[in-house]
Amino acid sequence: MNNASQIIDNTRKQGRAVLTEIEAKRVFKGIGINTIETRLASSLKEATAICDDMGFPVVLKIASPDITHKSDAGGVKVGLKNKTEVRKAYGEIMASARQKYPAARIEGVSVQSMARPGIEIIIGMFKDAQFGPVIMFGLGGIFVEVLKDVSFRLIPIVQRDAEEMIKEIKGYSLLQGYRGQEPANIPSLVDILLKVSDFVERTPEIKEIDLNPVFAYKDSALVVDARIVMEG
Amino acid sequence: MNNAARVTQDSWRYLFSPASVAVIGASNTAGSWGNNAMKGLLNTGERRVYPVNPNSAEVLGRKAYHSVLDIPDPVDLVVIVVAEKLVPDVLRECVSKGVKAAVIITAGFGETGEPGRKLEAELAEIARQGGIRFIGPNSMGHADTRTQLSTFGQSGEMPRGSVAVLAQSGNMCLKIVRNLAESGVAFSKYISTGNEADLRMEDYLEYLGKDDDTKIIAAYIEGLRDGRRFFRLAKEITVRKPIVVVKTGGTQESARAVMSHTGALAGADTVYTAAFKQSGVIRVEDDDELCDVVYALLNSPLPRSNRVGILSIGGGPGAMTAEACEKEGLAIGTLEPATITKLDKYLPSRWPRRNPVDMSGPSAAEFSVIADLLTALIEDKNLDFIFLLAPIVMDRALLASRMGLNPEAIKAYREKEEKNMMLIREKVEKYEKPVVTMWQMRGLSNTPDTAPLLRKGKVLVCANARRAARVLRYLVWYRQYLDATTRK
Repeated sequence: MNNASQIIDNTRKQGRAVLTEIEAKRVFKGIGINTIETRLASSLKEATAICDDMGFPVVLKIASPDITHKSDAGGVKVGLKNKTEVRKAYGEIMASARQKYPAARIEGVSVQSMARPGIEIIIGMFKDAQFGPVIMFGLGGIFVEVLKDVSFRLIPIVQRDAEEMIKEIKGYSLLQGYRGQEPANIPSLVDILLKVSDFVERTPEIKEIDLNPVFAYKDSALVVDARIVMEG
Repeated sequence: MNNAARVTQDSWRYLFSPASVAVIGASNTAGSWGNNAMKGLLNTGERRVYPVNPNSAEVLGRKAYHSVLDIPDPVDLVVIVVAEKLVPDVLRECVSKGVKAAVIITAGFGETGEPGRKLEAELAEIARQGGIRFIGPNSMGHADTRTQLSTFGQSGEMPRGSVAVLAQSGNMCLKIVRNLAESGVAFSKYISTGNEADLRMEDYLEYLGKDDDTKIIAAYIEGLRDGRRFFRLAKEITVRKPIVVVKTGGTQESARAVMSHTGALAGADTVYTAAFKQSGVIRVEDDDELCDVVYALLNSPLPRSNRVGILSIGGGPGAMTAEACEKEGLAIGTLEPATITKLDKYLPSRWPRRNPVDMSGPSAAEFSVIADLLTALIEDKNLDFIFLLAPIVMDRALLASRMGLNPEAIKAYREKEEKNMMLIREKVEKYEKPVVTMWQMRGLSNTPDTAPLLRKGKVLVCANARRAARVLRYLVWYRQYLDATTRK
């Protein structure tokens, strides 16, 4: 927790409202949520060294406090299988980011290992004008985009609320292992919801959170991408 | 929270049991607001009532005053019905007079646009500085049956009861009150809250939560100003008193600038839904459902779980009801073998021996076994409530025509029905299992002649199977909420 609040303090001192991906992931890791390992590489050399350490395949993303929509900036490359691909991707990401956001401060790239595919989940939080902080759970990917298959509760939630939120979505049967697919580990998802609720309750300056996607597996769940927005 | 201060007990007392009331804009014109309010206030209750009207010497035979300031006695409550432009000055006079509370019936404020909103803010400011708490503007009135006070302009004595109604629409308030009254429900208080420039839904809720006269709160809500406060209050109240809500305005999106996916996904209404669910508030679809649920809460126990037993005079009604139940997520219970043995004694050998229990077309002469069948189903451990599609009581006209009974025989038949009903009531209460009958048996179940009998038996009446299934779904949900909340 100390770690998490230090990161948040640091962001505020720099006058930023949005945490970088790496900062956000460190915050969630710091509050005990299983989060994919993601490290900052400030040069190509560092990037390839991290890859050696992590193993392939990897994902590279532009790391800049000024670029929040990384894909739009051509700043995301996935499934890189070797050093050659990493070198090429690094060059393309830098070129594209500089072209589209010439004024952006660029710290380098984030390097993360490719997560084993699981059931895509979205967990989030925002502040409602009437009700204050609200937590959301839903199926990710097209389910959230097209069907808006999500459920909400006011923060703070208790275990029963978290369990109900999960059971409430229309696609709940997908989490139970539809057609021989691996089921999702519900207690792990409940745990994430409770930890996010608890964290937001203790940190009122947080305005919005996206954990998108979270991959749910048979025995665990893993946060693959994270975003935190602070009150301005 | 810009709602100046919490409302004191004194303020509530001046609103609901004032010693003196002035109607500002009192009128001799029959049907006008100023005439209605006067008539209603003069009709019942012991209090001094003063008409204020600068253009008449008297209203309804009472000396009228030029201004509230001319009234020789102290005034606790004023009812304001003058044109909207005049309301701020009238309110200032009330402050000078030392008036404690007001109901502003006059419309044409915040609901009409920006100039109206400014005028409304002015009222709130005058009242705040002058220490007046008020209902409205754009309210249709408020009523308290304990003190027999009504500013709605109703006439006649109001029976005392335990249901309170709060509505952000005056018309919805009266519609709900009238519909419930028709099924024999009486009220503690009901309030048309209007635009809520001063007193708000949250204030009334807090008050009614503590009000000993009120056991059930029904509300029609269009929007809340402090949802978090409503949520906290509701959470605390619903473990003691049910709150049933109709919420409209589901399509309005609250303006919020969001950077996250999550914020963009949340419509305003989805958050209301979550808040209600999480605080044990029974949210229904419309005012008909609201009345059904309030009636059921008042007249029936809460079922332990969702398994229905269906007792039907024939196959069709039973099948339709079973389908309606399944659509609403209720389960068709499996009969215990012991129940089947019991039912065998009363039913022809061709009955299908399963739920729904199909009486397989009894003659009118065989209707007398219905009470025994129903009792057997109530006692079945696999069932949590019973839907009854058979004439457990019969209308006088039918008894005469179908069964050829003379008045004396009808009386004897009634006495037997009444005995049955007392027995059923006992079972309903002992096993905590609601019994609901439906109007599919038109003329057989819910006429002025039979309704009191059904009430005696704690038998609920619904218009059709779908509505009955929805009511039970709400009751089951509420029971499960209470069980989960109080278990902790």
